[in-house]
Amino acid sequence: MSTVAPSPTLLTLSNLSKNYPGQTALDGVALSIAAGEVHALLGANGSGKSTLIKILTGVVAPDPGALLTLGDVTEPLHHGASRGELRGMPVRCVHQDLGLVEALSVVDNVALSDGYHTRRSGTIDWREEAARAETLLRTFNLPDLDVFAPISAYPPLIKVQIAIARVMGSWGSEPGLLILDEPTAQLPDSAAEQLFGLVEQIRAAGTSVLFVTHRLAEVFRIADSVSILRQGRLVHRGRAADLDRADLIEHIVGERRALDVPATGNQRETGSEVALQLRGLTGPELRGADLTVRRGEIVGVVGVIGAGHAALAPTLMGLTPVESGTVEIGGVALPLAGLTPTKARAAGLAWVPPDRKRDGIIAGLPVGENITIGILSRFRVGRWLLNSNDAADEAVRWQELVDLQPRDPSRLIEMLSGGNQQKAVMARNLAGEPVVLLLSEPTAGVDIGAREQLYAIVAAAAEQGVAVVVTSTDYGDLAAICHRVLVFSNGQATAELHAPGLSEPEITHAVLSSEDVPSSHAFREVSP
Amino acid sequence: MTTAQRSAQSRGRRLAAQLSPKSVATLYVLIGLIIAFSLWKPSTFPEYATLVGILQDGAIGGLIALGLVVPLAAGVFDLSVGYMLGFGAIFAAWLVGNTSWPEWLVIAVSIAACAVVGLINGLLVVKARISSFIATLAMGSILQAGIQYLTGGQILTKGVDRIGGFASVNIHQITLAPMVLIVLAVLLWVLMQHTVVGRHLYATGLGGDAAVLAGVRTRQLQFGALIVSAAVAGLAGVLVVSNVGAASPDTGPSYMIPAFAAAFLGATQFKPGFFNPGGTVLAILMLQTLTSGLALAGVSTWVPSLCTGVILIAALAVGQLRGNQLSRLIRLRRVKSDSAQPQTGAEPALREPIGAEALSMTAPATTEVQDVRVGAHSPSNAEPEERTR
Repeated sequence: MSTVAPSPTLLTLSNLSKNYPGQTALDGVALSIAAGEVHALLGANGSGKSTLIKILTGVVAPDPGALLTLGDVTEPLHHGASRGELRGMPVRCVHQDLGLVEALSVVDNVALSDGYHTRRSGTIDWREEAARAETLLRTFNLPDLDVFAPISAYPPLIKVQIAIARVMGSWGSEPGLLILDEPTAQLPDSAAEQLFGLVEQIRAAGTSVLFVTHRLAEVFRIADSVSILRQGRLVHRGRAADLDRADLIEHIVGERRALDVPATGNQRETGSEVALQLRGLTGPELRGADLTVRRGEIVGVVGVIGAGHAALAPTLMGLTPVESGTVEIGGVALPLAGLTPTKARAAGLAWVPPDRKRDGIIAGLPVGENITIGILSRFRVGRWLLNSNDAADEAVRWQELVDLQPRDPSRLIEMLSGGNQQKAVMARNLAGEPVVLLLSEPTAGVDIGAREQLYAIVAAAAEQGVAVVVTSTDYGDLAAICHRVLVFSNGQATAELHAPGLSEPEITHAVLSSEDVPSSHAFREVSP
Repeated sequence: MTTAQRSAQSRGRRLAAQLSPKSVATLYVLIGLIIAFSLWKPSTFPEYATLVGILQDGAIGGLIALGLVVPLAAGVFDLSVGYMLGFGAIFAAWLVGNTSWPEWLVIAVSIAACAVVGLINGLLVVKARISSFIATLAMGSILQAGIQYLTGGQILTKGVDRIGGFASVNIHQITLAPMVLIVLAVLLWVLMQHTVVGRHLYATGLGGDAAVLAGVRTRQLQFGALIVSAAVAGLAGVLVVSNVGAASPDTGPSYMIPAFAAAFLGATQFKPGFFNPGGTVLAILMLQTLTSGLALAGVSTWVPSLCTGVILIAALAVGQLRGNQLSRLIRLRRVKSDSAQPQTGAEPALREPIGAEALSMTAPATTEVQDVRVGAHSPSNAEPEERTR
């Protein structure tokens, strides 16, 4: 960390609010960034970081009343037509996905943002373009690369550096703000250190950097000052040097409204029969994961990005290849070679996937059919014909069980609210009478009322003996419903927390502590 | 109240809704066309012979349109049906001219040959994961090569009268082809509406990865669908040969565009958003009435083609506006403005293997075209709670 003399303020945003229907993303936030500093922006998922960045880059308009101070001038923050600047001052952002076109070369990627240099004839001057790209690489101390090779050939660190250099190269010398949104999320620790060299170079040149990260160690390594958001509010602002790790965690986590799930009873006895047994499961993100879940048990799995917890469900459903390990469902071995979702379902698995709109609902089909599509063969008359009335009755029965509104099974599913869509997806999966129910971010984008209903449904299923494995970034919810929470790190469970006494701060603390275990981040490289 | 009671109560209302102009606009257009042509050409159009002609001429295009309904419902194109029809016709004619096989065997082998080509289409699309659009387009060219090889560019007539006997089968002059069309339409209606396979076909076309996770065997269904459309095209080819009494190497491609127009226009009728046999039959009747009427009226030969093209585009535009299954098929992969939007990939086969994206919670996001510009915001790495807004 560096100590800097108090430097002039680059920009101050104040009274920044953003309300979405039914949800407050930002509530009177203020952000002040000094010239030539690295300012860390911290907060849990859903704390408002993304919205703040979107407002800074001009993608989202704040609610009226927001003020922007540049120099001595304070004026309402107008949402200009041009993105990437605030009242003429450049604000650029490198997102976590970098925005590079992997199949194209360095030259093309640079030119796509800055424009191609053409000769008078209108053809591209490739020699000039190559020289420009090479100069850019040299300026930012990148290694000597083949600027005509596709970017996909280079390691993650190089890609991040190219993405940042590309933004800085077209900047000029005026002061401004560079936003780095989790630039290290996909990097191994050694590479992150190299990236900080580049960040320091940019700071030294007088540009302010807003640095978003989930890795707290990086805050002390690179940041001069810190702003922490929690549930849309600014809860702390100060110099990084004045804080320690525990302070950061406390500010990030805070306290919040507990989930009220009366039917949950995570003190309830679970069955003794093992429903799901994983031994040494290895695949994308997973490195020898072991897991035992009993009937009636609700187990939360958490971790930092890439820790492996989120890969469990897709791997068990046969969507990603398994390298080694065994899986037993209800004591019966699940054949992992050539596993498909259909086979996984037949073996007793069911999955509520994280991307509801893409992988959950079948848009265009009515709610009723969305619920029964997986069990239609139960309603056959003879070998071929389908008794649609029986299928519709079953759909209605499920609509009542999960309290799906409206009760009309012929309504197209995409017309329903997110919570009701998710109830339909949940009903479809429970209708298949699974042994193990896998839930991935089951309440993403769902309001608190529907969330409680969804968890009540999960608890009721567990009551009837279904084993539940749930991933959620909402640790408060997990604390309310889970018997146990397993913290994943480096592809396997490394810590286990038990009810009673589960709490959001405890889970958050365990997850943030687990990040210290260096992870390989191999997934990005092996994924197709 | 059970669904059975409810459905009995609302049956009358449903029938009224089915016959409303919103549901079957094409029916009213058809009636309008009949009235208009009857007024325009009172001496030639309102004749029984005209009806017979429309049914006869429309039946062949109608058959391949019905065959197309199956793969289209499952979310895959079959652009080879035109040449497939030609190949079926030529192969049957070649067999009767060069073998002494009995007629039934010739017909069965011709249809089976087309089914085998459809199977290869299926392998290309489902196993090799080539876009169905391109794979079947290429297959059309290969089929054309087969046609040229078998005919040497000549019209085949030798022995064709052996299978011409079918052409003389008729009820009140209405020949075999329209009857086959009706039988096939009814069979398909039962399949699509009243079997598990049919409902899974629609889920395949609509849901893609969601359908896979719901336990639908989408790949097997797409595979089977391409075999069905090929076999139906082969059947249509045999009927053409038996009708015409000769097989021209040029037979086939001209049927394709009207067939697609009928299938897509049909998907705006009866059950808007779903490719369905009833709508398809209605659409082919309307298209053929228009074409035949214009021919009787003696307009220039370019007019019917123009009308077919305009109607196809109009059907696509309506489908696009309604944002349904049609638009999923016809819209090219859009640059997403928000990652939370449902994917409207042009083609399940073109999409990434599901595993890669199913993990997108952890490994955010493929690079999107929109994000090429530096500083352009991509919400794809927004936090989960926020990105579903």
